[in-house]
Amino acid sequence: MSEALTIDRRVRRLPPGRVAIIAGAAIMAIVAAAAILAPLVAPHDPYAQSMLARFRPMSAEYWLGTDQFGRDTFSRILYGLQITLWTAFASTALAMLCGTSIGILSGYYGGRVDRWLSAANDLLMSFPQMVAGIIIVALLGPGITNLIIAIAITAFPAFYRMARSAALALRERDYIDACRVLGYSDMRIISRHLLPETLDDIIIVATLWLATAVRTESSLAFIGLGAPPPAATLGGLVREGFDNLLDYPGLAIWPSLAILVVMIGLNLMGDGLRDANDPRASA
Amino acid sequence: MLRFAGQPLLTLIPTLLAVLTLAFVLVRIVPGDPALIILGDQATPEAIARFHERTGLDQPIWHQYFAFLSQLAQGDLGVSMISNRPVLSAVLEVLPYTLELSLAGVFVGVVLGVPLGVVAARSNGGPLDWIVRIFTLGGLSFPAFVSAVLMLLVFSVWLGWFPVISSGKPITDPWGRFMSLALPALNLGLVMMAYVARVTRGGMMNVLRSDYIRTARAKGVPARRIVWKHALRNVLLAVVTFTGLYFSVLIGNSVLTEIVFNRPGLGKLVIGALERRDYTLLQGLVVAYAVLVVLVNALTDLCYRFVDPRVKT
Repeated sequence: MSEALTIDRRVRRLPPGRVAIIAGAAIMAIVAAAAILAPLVAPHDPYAQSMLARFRPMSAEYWLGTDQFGRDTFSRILYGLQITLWTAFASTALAMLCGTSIGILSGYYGGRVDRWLSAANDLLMSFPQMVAGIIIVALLGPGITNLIIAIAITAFPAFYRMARSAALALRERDYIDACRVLGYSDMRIISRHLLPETLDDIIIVATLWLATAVRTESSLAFIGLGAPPPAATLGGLVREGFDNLLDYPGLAIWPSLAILVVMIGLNLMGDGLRDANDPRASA
Repeated sequence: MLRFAGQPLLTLIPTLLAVLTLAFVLVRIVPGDPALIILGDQATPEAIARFHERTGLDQPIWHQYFAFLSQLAQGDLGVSMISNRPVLSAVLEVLPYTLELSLAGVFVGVVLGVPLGVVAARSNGGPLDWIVRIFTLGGLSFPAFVSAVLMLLVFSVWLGWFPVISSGKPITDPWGRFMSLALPALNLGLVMMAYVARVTRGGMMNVLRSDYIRTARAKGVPARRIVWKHALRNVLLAVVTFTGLYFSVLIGNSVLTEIVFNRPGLGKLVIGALERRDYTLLQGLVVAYAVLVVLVNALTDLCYRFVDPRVKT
């Protein structure tokens, strides 16, 4: 709670970051509401096929037209948002949880295990993230859970590295020494003193990684490695539109714009938070 | 010169060995017998045994590992499980296309990104800074396949400036090759440009505050010369570092770009290998990517020494 307050105070001093945070949060609130309320808001069943209503143009009945199976594009985008946001959120949370805890423990205790973990982490970090994601999903098999695991694996190194370097720097501080002299347990030092100190940075990295997770999820879906059909995914919708690009470009344009809106919202929030936290890093 | 280049290359060996081991393990922890996946459930035991013998899967795992490494040391990546074709030649056949695309992407990204960043830093909070800010936010927000699809739609389908399918043109047709490269390279470059502009802007803001810039200003050096000559030289170090780090993202984006523009390349080969469950080809491709990343890192190190004469060790 106190962390949220310190961020808030810094925000107030820095109007540009604050504007970006508010704009990003507003965009994401609308997008998230649309996704969560999709069953109520969507004008049509996203899976209902109708051979009579194939490739309809935009109209009052089908706001963004229909696809090759007569399914309503607008409704499918809303349901696609659900999958995209859930996958991105769950995978980032998983990576944050594992990466941060292992990173802090690794940095706090040091030693041989830390050296091996860091080396392995550097290795994972150097391999092209998208290629790693493609290979992991393909090997694990299709499905949303596997997708979440694969994206979490590619996001893990960022959290690990940051938490580890923070713990490494903090454990040399005098007040941590004082805690040890007082006989506090390692668990107490880590959870009460190290973790809160790093929370600001972790939240910022998490917001920026949410955007990366959305990018990875939609890219994998575009390649055909996303949530299996008939589920509507934004990347999958762009793919279907891409296959009919010459005749019905709208089918590719609308879901593309939906992805863009989500990405811009998350990037605005992440950038704003980072600027507010560290004015020098503003770029 | 040899020691100059040799030292960083030497430190790469453990990294490379680890990646090779990872590639070996990755392909073998896949659940299920590749023979069953490739030959189908109806395969006779004799056919499966023959397949195991042909691919060396009947050997103990340590034998397989050392065979894999000793083959690699001789520049042999094995043969494809499906087509029986040497993996190395399959990789080398498409590698030029991926390299060409990546290099062109880096070129576009740096050539557009650096000036944008400099302009933004000089404007610092002014209208130009805000325009660049919004522009780069857009660049960061485009997944590579989204920008690729939209660019293909606008520039190839609607405006007709570029060919719709930019599949491999021979080198004997340089204009055709250039035209088929232009849009995919622009796609990679525009996304990278946003990052480069940010790095340049941040670096420039820092450098412009330093003492030697103040001295130059006091001496009466024209502002234009200070920014583009004195300051930029120092900023370029950050750009080189960034480009090296960004390369692995660029390679990932090139996979998507190759798919949308239907270009031959490593990315399309990976997708094909996964679809056909060709594990030896996949293993070879992981090795190829790892070698590429490791080489780029070494190259980045070398670049430092040319950009900044102070870097010696």
